[in-house]
Amino acid sequence: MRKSLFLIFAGLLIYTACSSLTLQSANFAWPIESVLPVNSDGNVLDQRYSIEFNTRPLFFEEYQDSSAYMDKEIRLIRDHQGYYYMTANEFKNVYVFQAEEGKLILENKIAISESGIVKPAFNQRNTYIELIDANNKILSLTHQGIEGGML
Amino acid sequence: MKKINFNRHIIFLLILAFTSISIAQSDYKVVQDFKKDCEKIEHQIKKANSADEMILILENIEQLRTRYSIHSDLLNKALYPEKYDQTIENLNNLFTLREQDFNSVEALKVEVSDLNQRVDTLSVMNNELQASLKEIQLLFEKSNKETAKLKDIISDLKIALHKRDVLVMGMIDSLMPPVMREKPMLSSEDKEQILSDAEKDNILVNVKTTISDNIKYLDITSLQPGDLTEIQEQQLDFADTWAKIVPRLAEVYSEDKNQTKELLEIDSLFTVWTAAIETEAWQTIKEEFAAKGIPLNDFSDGEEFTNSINQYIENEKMSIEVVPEEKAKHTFEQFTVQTWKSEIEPKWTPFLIENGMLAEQSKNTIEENIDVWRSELYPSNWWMWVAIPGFLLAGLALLLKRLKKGARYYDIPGK
Repeated sequence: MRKSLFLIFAGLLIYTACSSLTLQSANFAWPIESVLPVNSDGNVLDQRYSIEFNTRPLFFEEYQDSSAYMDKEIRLIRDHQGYYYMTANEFKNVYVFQAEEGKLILENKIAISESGIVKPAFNQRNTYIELIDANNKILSLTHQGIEGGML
Repeated sequence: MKKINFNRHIIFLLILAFTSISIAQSDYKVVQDFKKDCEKIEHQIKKANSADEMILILENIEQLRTRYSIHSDLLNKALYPEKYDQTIENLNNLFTLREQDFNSVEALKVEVSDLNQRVDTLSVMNNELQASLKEIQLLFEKSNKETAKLKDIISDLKIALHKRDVLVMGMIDSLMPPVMREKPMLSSEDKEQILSDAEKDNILVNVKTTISDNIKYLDITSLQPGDLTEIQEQQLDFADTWAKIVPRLAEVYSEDKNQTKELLEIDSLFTVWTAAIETEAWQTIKEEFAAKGIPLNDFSDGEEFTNSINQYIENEKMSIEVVPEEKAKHTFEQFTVQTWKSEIEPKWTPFLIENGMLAEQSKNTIEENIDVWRSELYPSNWWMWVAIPGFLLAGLALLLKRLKKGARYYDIPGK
């Protein structure tokens, strides 16, 4: 009995020591997407949100061609949970990333169109990211995938 | 009934389709369109050329506000650093500022138009006065009555000329306000504005006419140093006002050879005007001598003037022996007392020296020559003042000596 109480007490002590301070109800949503031109090194920079990264692996993933980024621009938006959504004209997928120390880690690759999305655009909505294209097709996206299907 | 229901369905489907289209709109595009529309209106405000255009722009701002009010939440979130309301307010502020510019320009236009009318009126008046002056000078002898009339006309002409000078200077000032003069570079809009105003107000013609009339005025009148000083001050004011805008006008007219030539003509007219003031001074001095019957060689500058007077004095000195003494003395009095000492030296020499038209040394030379002339006409008798007391003293000494001798003779019996 004594031994059990000791273990419970020690467990509580370790749990309290390990749990970090958490600020709740954080909203990371950007009001509108950013349309960022890719420079000659494959980098994009968003001055308003102070984010910069290299897109060559993204274009390689999409086209299997690491030089496909030339003269392209990517569309980037962040949802309320903090996930980054990226796509570009004629991409077949939307890429969802999560920020980590000095890098963006792919969370999900959402397949949208076999022929490529024509003139895609992201809109920020309350609980999801809206993806529209030149044909006025609308998809609701979360970091887990397409939420409601095509309208 | 079925038809009505069918129509309702059609309308419903159309609304649905329209709603889908409006829903499928990129927020990013809305924001970009808003920014573009704002930039377009800003451009319109900056390029506006008239108050009428400003009214249209105000309508455009209102339309923009109405069109995007349904997106105000999105725009307030998406725009950075200014929000939707702030952006509209900025446009309104920009509009108000530009409107104030137009109000100032309109006010200046009215002022310039008024000035133009007054300049025209004065120009007509000046021409009439000049014509009367010439007529009177040609037709009448200078009796007292006519001289008085002549003086009145000259006085009126002087006032009218001065008024027009001031008006034309006002026009020049209005054409290019100090703010515009101080700009390092004129924008193309500024240049167009100046070009249009200068042509509308006939600035170059008015400036040329004004200077020419002033030169004519100097030509047909005989002025005293006070008047000339006054004219000089006006001329300097005018030249100064002109000098402030002429580099800018040259910039505006850089591609127009005719107007550039006009500017050069105006510059040379200013030089002629300055020279005319000097010529007028020498002319009046000549007239002063001639009025006293003193014939001098012609002169038009300080050196010639000094030589002419010295030559006259030299001639008179040489003729002392051959003309009667009374006549020689009368000539001397006429020149020295009646003319030089009473007119030229007190009235004119300060003006001439002050304006660098006569050297102080030249004036002293003339004065020295006059003294020599006087001494030859009225030889000095200083030796008499020495000789007479000498004789008196010698006589007194002789008398005392004799008296002393007499006294010694009388003392002998007494001893």
